[in-house]
Amino acid sequence: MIAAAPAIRGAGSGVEPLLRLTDVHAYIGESHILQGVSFGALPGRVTVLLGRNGAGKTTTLRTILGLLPAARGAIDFAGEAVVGVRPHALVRRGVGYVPEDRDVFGGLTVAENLRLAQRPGAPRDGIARVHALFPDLERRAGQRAGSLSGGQQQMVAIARALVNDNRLLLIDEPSKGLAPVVVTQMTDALAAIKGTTTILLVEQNLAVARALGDDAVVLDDGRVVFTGAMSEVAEDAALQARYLGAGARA
Amino acid sequence: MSTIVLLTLTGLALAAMYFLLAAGLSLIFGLMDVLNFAHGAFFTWGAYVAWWTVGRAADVLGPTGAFLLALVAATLAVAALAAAVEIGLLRPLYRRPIYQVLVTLGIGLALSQLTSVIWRPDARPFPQPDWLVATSTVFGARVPNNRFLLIAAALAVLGGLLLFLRRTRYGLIVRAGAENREMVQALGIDVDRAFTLVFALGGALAGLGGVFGAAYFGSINPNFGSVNLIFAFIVVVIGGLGSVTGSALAAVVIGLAQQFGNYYTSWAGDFVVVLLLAVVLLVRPRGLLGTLQ
Repeated sequence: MIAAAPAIRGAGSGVEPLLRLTDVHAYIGESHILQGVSFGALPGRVTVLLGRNGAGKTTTLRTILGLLPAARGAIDFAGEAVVGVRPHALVRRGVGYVPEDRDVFGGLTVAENLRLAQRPGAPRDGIARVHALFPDLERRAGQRAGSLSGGQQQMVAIARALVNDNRLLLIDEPSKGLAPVVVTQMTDALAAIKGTTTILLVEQNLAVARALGDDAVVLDDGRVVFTGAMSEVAEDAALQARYLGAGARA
Repeated sequence: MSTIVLLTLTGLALAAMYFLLAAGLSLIFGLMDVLNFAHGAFFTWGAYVAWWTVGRAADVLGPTGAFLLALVAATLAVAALAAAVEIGLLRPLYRRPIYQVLVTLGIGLALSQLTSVIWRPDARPFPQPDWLVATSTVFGARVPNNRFLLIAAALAVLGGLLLFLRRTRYGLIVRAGAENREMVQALGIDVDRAFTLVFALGGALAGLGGVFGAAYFGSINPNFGSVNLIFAFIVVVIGGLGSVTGSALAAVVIGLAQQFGNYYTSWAGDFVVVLLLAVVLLVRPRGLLGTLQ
């Protein structure tokens, strides 16, 4: 289904989306990047945000988090409007963010990165939990994060989002720039937490998207052109060719 | 021998004063990217608050009690002043760095003028307990005791800052914020609060430095801070922007170079400092221990 005016998935199904965007517009400088984006992320499911480079995927995540102001439209998280809520305040409501470039604090050790991410009141076993998921991080706890490999830094970035009991995870291209073997490790780790929390995942790698995604939203030039099941995207070669292009890796 | 000892200890005391001034500058720049040109005025105000406090408390508390009270009063008063400046004037300008520089420059000038208006522009002797101006003999050199106190205070501040940065959550926030402020926010941390805390901490150090600076020079005047601020900036640049340990190291180099240079010639002290700055900028632009490019 390629929708000209996509419906918010979940609407009418009786299940309210945990996150809902309605006609969201956002600019970077003078450029009108998001041009009326509407979709919802259902609780407990992985919604994959797909699209070519420059379609507005990262901008969507940054706008949800408040790192970029929404010029128009509504964003609701857990039934509350969050446009204008400052990023740290939104995160404290239970949102974890894994940015595209990992953005680990290179001068801090792995343990310090995780300690910093652990919010006051977070579960005490949060760090033990991420160590169980990424045993390598426990072994490298005292190592400066800046000296880690790309894959290990990605583990730190994801682990930072998992040390708290977040209700929503915004994960931006976790497989970007990683060796295939590391991508597999990363996918396995994310699969292990699937179902325990709601995830909005930006992913160019179609194999990763297919392995993790329940629902899919396809963006093109800042507009939603498809919402549906991830399996529909995986099976629709025409949609892939038209909207995902060469950027999507099978 | 005694001359070398005297010059070394006096140079280290001068270094200690520069460090107290530079540490706050370095912390503020490291986290907030703010070049705080009002820092010299904070230093001056620390000295004047201390002078005012000693003048009123000496009869009641005695010279030593009044001096200790002055240390606390100056530190807290300038910390509060810095926090008010950050919240009231700098916070609305974080997306406009040029305006920030202009505002801190303006605050510095305004506070200096205000000092002249309130306490008159002429220099004032700074009263200190007798035991501080008395001398102790070290390898034949008679060194004023306030030099030792200044060095001890700087060492205590260096140790305290390193503990703060390495062992506390706010220290982690400062170190992480120096690398990537946006990501700190994205971890649920209120960066504005951290900014206010660091600016107030920088102000507190400037206030404390002002008291010890007054004790070192024995007198104060409204331009007291701005003269020393130039050297503090040089210390921060040579040490490496954002590095407290680098500032300590650079302060020692600058303090000793200035003291020895001024002793052996009447002009070489400041010249050597500028020469060192030029060499470091050419050979190692990020400074001795700096990580910022």
